[in-house]
Amino acid sequence: MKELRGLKIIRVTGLIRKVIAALGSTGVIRVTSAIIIMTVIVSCSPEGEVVNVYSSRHYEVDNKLLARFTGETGIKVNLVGADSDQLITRLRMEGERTRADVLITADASRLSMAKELGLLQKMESPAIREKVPPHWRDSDMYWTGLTKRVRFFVYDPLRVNRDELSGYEGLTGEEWKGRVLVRSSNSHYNQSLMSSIIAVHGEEGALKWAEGMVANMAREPSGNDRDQVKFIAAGLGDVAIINSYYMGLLHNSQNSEERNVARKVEVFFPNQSGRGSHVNISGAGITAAAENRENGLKLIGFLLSIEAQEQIAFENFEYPVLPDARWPDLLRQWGTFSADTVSLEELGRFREQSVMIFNQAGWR
Amino acid sequence: MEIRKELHRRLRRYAGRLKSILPTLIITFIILVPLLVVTFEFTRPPTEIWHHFTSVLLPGYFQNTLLLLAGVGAGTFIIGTGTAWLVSMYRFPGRQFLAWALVMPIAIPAYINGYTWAGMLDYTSPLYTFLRERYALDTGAYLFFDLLSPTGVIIIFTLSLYPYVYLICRAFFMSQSAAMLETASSLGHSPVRSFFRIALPMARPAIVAGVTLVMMEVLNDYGLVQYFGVDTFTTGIFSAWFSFGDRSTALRLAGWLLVMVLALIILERLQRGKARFDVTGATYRPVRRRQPEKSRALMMSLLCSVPVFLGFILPFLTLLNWTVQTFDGVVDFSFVRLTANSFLLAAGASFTGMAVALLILFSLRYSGSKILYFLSRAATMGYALPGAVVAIGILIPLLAVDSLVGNLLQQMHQGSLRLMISSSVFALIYAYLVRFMAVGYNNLEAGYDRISSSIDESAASLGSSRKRTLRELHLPLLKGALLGGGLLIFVDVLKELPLTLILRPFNFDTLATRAYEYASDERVAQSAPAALIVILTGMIPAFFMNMILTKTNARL
Amino acid sequence: MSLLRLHKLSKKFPGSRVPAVDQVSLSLERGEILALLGESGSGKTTLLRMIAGFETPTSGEVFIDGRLVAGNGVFMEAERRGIGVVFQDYALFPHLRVRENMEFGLKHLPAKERKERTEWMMELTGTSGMQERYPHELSGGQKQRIALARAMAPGPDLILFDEPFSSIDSMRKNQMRKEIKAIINKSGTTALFITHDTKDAMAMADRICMLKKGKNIQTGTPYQLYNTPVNSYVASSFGKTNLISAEVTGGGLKTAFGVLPLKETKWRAGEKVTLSVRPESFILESNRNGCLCGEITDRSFMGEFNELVCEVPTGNGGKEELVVRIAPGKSCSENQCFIRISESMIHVMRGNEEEPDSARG
Repeated sequence: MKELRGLKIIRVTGLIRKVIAALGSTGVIRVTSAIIIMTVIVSCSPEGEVVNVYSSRHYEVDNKLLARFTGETGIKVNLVGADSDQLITRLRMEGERTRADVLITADASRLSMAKELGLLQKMESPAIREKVPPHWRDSDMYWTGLTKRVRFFVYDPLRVNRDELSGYEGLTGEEWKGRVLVRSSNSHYNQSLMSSIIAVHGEEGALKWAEGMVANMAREPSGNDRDQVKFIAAGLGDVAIINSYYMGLLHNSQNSEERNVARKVEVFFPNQSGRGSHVNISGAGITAAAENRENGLKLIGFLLSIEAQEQIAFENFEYPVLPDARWPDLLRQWGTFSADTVSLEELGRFREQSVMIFNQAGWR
Repeated sequence: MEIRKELHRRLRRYAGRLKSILPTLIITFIILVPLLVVTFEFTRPPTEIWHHFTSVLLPGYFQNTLLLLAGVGAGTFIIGTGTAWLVSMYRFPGRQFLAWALVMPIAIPAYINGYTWAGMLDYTSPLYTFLRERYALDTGAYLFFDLLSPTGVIIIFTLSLYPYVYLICRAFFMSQSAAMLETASSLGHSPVRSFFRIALPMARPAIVAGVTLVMMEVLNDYGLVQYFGVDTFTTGIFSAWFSFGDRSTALRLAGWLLVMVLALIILERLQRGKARFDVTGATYRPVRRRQPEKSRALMMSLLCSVPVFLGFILPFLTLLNWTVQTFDGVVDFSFVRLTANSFLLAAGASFTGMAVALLILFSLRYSGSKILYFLSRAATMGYALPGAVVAIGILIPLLAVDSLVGNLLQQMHQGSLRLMISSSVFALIYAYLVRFMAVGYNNLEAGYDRISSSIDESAASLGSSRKRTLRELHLPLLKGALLGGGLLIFVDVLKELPLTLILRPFNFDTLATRAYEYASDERVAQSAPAALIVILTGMIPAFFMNMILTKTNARL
Repeated sequence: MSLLRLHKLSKKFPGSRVPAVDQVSLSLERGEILALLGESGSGKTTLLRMIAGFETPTSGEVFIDGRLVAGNGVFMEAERRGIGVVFQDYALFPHLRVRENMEFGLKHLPAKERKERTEWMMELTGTSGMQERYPHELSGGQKQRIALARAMAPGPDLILFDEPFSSIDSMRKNQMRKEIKAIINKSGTTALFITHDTKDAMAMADRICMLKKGKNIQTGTPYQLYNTPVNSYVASSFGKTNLISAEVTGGGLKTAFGVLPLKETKWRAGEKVTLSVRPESFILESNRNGCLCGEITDRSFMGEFNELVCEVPTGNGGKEELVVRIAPGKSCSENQCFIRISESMIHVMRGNEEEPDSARG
């Protein structure tokens, strides 16, 4: 296989050289062609076992895990890190000649979208099917969740009575006017939340909800999830919708002030008396055109090992998808919760509508 | 019969001339490809998402973009011309240092300045912690104003970009004849009055040129507005392309952005008219700097220090502090590789850029071809294209080439070949070439203008071939221009963000993308080491610009 | 065979309605020095550039040593013509030392010969000892001599000079002219230079070609152009002259000052002609007999002569000014003089079809 590749390279190089010779003999063209040929050679040069990953997860713990994977299996991991939308767009444009084998995103609806666009393939892995509970993976096994993050509330216990809080829908009530903090609608986490609302209340209901939220916002959405918590600490608002793991990171920040901020607020799992809190996943799938499919499956299998799951939970404060992986103390303190029963696959279906509804409602 | 022979002869001569510039024409055309891709999109029917954009989003984009343009334009105009005037006309404590230091913010890319400031004014920053603990002020970052807002973006842009206006105005004020201003004072104008009545109107072309440059930077920015959550045309392009997966709408938006940029350029040209920047001639005499009374002199020192302090010293020290804090966690072997990556990439791009610019200008010098002139002018438009647009414009044709080559090879062999060109460093360098060639081109063009044509002709009459003239005369004589242009491209590539984010190959990070990733991952302090290297490198051309200014002054 | 021959050479620049060079024919013999003389816009620079190979002719041909180098579909590039050029701004390569500048055109020679040739050229031009200097360390005159030496070093058959004296101050001009002429003569090369200064042309050139509006209006020795100009433009270009309109009659030339004798026979009666009478062609007489009586309106002492401006009454009752030069020893009364035109010094030219731009040069 590798030899064949080498042969191909020689042919390509010869071909390109001929094309260039036909083009002209100017020095600059020669130099340019030399550069092209070199790039081709470099990009084709036979490597050992590899797996090429497009990932929108950009956490320190991921780098550690990938390094450990290479150490344990000898499979080199090549990584392109970018926003998941960018990665999907890139996959689409690259089509069947893409070099990516694995797509990792931090949002379920992006994975569903990738599946719908035909960018992923079915994972023939009984191990994954067995290990991951059905709710946290694609029913056709096109992708699987790796970690869970809850989109929950944090609030200032001095200004908010815990009993006032109910669910996402509750925040649109009159009494919350000027008290709600949430980041902008560009956030994928908000888009997935909106998709879950659409799934439950339909498009019109969702638009109403979004408008109600906009009416109650303490300020124009800005900053990231951590900033929302800081806004509460600063007294600019009373309750914020954020992703759970950011609270974990705040509690464990190197900056003592951030830890202070985290201690000032409390967390609340919304919709517990109803359908459950909106839980998003970060997950992975094998690309439809994957060249190193087996290696990709190995990588996903590795990330679903108990050790890897626990490392992510303890260092990045995401919830493991494996039911028997241990949780860090902080997550245990927050306690268990029931998750929204809307299937993750459904979230992807409403992605475009969710953005449009946000835009219509004027949710920046 | 005669006519046919004559026609034939002419055709042959024309073909001969065309052949000599053919390689240049091809290369110029390649640079133009992304521009053509954008233009081509306009000929196709718009998609549904385009309608969503025009009805719901576009008004907001327009409003924000215009607001930023107006705010930043006004801000850079006031700070740029004001400080340039004070530094050129008055003596005050620290003037010489400030005249230098006022250029320095140019070394800090706006997005880095932005998240550094955001970090400095964060609720948990030392400043606010101090204020809270000492004075029990508990409104945090929002004590003064909300930085993550259009106002904040305008302030950051102004602090980062005013040096463009400052530089160009200072050069102008330094070169203007004292006689003009002395006449004004002999006619009873106070210095302040002559500033408004004489200096400003005279400097108008310079100011407009500077402000236009600033506005182009604003239109181009993605990093800062994205981080501060202000939607502009450029973020709209990203959102259309990535969130909606609609390339067509993205290209359409890009086309409109291009129209805006063109309008800016045309406005600038129109108002410049026949006005000339340089005041030459024997009557030139530099302006004698006035000595204001002490309190006013101190006031001037203070005024000129503010932009330097806010735009450079404070963010720089903060980044330095963060670097010290996070050094152990961030700076390891991979960081060295990252730096090497960035520098090699920038070096490759600046080399390619200057080589192509040289080739085009050299061909133009000899052929005087109108087509080539037109194409090369168009090719320098790439500077006005936002990085994201260049990325789309490059990916589409490169992917096509890739699959063509792939198919070809597939026919020769079984098995499939993966993408080579479009996900390689080559694609990145190509993109930088499209985006930044103009920077080097303009520099080199100015250099070529200084080589009198009699030098070439004299070499020819001494039997020197064109190649030899290029090698032995042009190259040594253009050394400065080549280095200068190369350096500008180098720094621009080092700072570049959106393009690199989209096009980089596997395992390929640059200082800019790493800094941005850390910052957008809410770990601003960790982004500092990478940011610091970008800034330190960016200071080199800033130093040079200063040197050129002072040298010109000394010679005059 | 002529070293250089131009045949009906024309150049029209795109966008311009009139040709810059219009059907110029000219030939130049070996060892000759020819000046292309004309005011700015006369096309002399374009002509020079076409000879050098920097410009392609629109029509016509250029032959060097009998070989067609431009025109008729042929175009030989400048670097292959073997013509030396000395530019107005000298075009010394600023980043190269004088020695390297000199050797630039000698790349085909072995190092030893290169050195010898360079030294010989520098000796010839009196610039020895400057080998290691940079152009910016030279004075204007030195630069010019180096530029000349550099152009001559490869041993071209023909050297072209573009306005060689225009940037030399007038005090040193005379000396420079002599030096350069001596250098050219000593080296035995053929030279063609363009100038707008008649004095340059007269002092340097064996022959002068006078250009106006792209046309060759007269070519000849300086003596010919001075004494027998073809029209009033040429006449007034070479020093001061009095232009007097006249009509050929049976017995002579009828002028406002009376009838003058006509010796030449080529003029037909009734033809309108212009007479050129140089200021030194007048003889000062002590009495009014047969003389013109002029009222002196201005006099200036010029060293070797006195120049008078006299108002002379004309036959029809008007007055006309004549410039008269007389030897300084001769005197005349306070405000009147009696002058006679020396008949042998009258030059008759075709009539006033061309208005002289500045009648009194």
